[in-house]
Parts: sequence; structure tokens; C-alpha cells
Amino acid sequence: MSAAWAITVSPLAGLVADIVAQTLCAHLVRRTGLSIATGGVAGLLGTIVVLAGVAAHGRDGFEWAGAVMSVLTYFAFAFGYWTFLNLNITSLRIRILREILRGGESGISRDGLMKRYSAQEFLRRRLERLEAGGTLTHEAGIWRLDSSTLLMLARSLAFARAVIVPSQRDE
Amino acid sequence: MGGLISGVLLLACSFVAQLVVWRVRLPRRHTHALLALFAGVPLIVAGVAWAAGHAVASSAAEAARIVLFYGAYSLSYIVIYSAIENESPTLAIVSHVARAGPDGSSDAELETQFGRGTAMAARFAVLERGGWIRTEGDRIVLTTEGRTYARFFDGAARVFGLTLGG
Repeated sequence: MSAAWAITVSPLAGLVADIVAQTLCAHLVRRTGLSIATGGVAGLLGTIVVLAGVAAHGRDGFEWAGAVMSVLTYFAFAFGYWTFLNLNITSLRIRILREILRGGESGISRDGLMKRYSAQEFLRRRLERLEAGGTLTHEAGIWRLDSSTLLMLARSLAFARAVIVPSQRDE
Repeated sequence: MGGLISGVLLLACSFVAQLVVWRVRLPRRHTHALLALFAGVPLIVAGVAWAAGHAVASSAAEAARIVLFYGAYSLSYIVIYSAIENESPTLAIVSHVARAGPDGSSDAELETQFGRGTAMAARFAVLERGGWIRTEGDRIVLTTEGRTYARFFDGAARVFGLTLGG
């Protein structure tokens, strides 16, 4: 394989390393957050190892611009994979689809699903995740913001919503 | 560096095209429209460049690199677009607590604001509108498309060691 093609496929190698490391870690350690972080780091290392291999072998045609582009491409792959995993963990819509699938061909009763996943349960799960992730603290029945990372994300998305989705902006 | 610039310019063209289309007529199914738009814009740009007589100077490897870069960022954008389209309940909770300032927000306030909502009903409506589920009497069943997605996510959760979320 030429240096140019090795640089091109390096983010794909990184993505494969990310998926394999995350999957192994999730099944062996059974900690979702740790498995996602491990996968992300393994993927970045995988990408860099391929690029370093190309550079170290002194092949003609090693391009720094191409290498930078490949690392940036890996970041997008890793972000996409993280988002996909996160969807499975947090998305209510996917939870509903999977619950209906488990109900078989005849589906499930709307009331039954509403009872199993009440609004209180919906809130409790999210507060637990926010507290475990260090975003919120809970003391004497009061919730306070402890880390503003997610708040910045919320504000960024609100700005993007105002720019991109006209119906939301006009409301 | 030309490949990186080409990739970034293609992403910018697709994003601008989305802004224009969204203002002319908001699509009913945003994700499908975004997929079509982000797939179509590079083809149109390439066609225009070819018609204008601009030779493609990239090697096959560099062209593939541009495709991977553009594809990866396009898909990442399309995935996060659902969070742009509708505010995530989790982020809504964070914003609510932030607005409360140092006094914080009590359990009761959060319960009133988010614990009596119609999150499930709203999600049912979105899934039904998207053609993934349909209501038959008091039961909800998956459409063929919904079953495909449900199987995909269920299988992925097993493979990647994820619990039932939501």
C-alpha cells in the first residue's frame, strides 16, 4: 500500500480500534463511560500508529496535511460513534422502539408503557445521570449546577437552533 | 492542504444549502432531507466544476480522503441535528437548574417542571409522524421501517454492551 493510501485509511483503522476496544471494555469491565473513553483513546492511538508507521518507514509522499486531515476525520468518526452509543443510552425514542420490539408482532399497550416509564421515572433517570456525571449536585433536596460543560452545550445548541430551524426562531 | 480546504468548503456548501432549503420549505422528515442534501450537494458541486472546465487535480487517495472527511463530518452533523431540532430533556433540566442560580432548584420544582410532562406522548407523536410506529386501538405496533430500526438498535446494544436506556 502506498503512503498516500495508508494515510487515507488511517482514520478507518482508528475507528475499528475504537469499536473493538469499546466493545471489549464494555463486556469485560461493564462500565459504559469507561468503555467509551477507552475506545476513543484506542482509536486515536490506532490512527496515530498508522500515520507514524508511514512516516517512520520514510516512504516518499508522506504528507503532513493529509495526516492532519486523517486525524480530524478520525475525530469525526469517534464523535459519530460516541453519539451513536449515547443515543442507545439516553434516547427515549429508541427506548420506546426497543420496548415495542420486545412486545412482539402485536406490539404493546400504550397505557402499559406509560406506566412502566412514567414522567417521574423519566426525571429520576436523568437526574441520576447528571449527578453521576458531576453536572449537578444534590444536597438537602436542592439541585445545583456543579459543572457548566453541559450548560455551554445547551446554549450552543440553542444558538444553532435559532440559526438553523426557522420555525423555532419565529416562535 | 488542498484536500482539507475542499472538504471544509463542501461542508460549508451543504450547510448553506440546508439553510436555504429550510427557509424555503421546512421538510417533513428532517433526517431524510439532510441525508439527501448532504449526499447531493457534492455531486452538484462536482458537476458544476466539471461543466465549468475545472480539472480535478486530486489523486485517487486524496479524493478518497476528502470523501471520508466530508462523509464523517456530514454524518456527525446529521446525528447531532436531532439535538438541534428539539431540545434534549437532559439539557433542559441543566438549563433550568442554571437559571435558578446559587439558590438551586428543589426536588419539588423539578418535579413540577419535568416530572408531570408529556415526554412519552411527545415521543410517540414524533415516532408516528416519522412512520416508525402506528396505533392500533390501545396498542402501539412497529411499522416495517420502525421494526428494522428497533432491531438494529437492539442488536447494537447487545453487541456494544449497552443497557436499556431512555
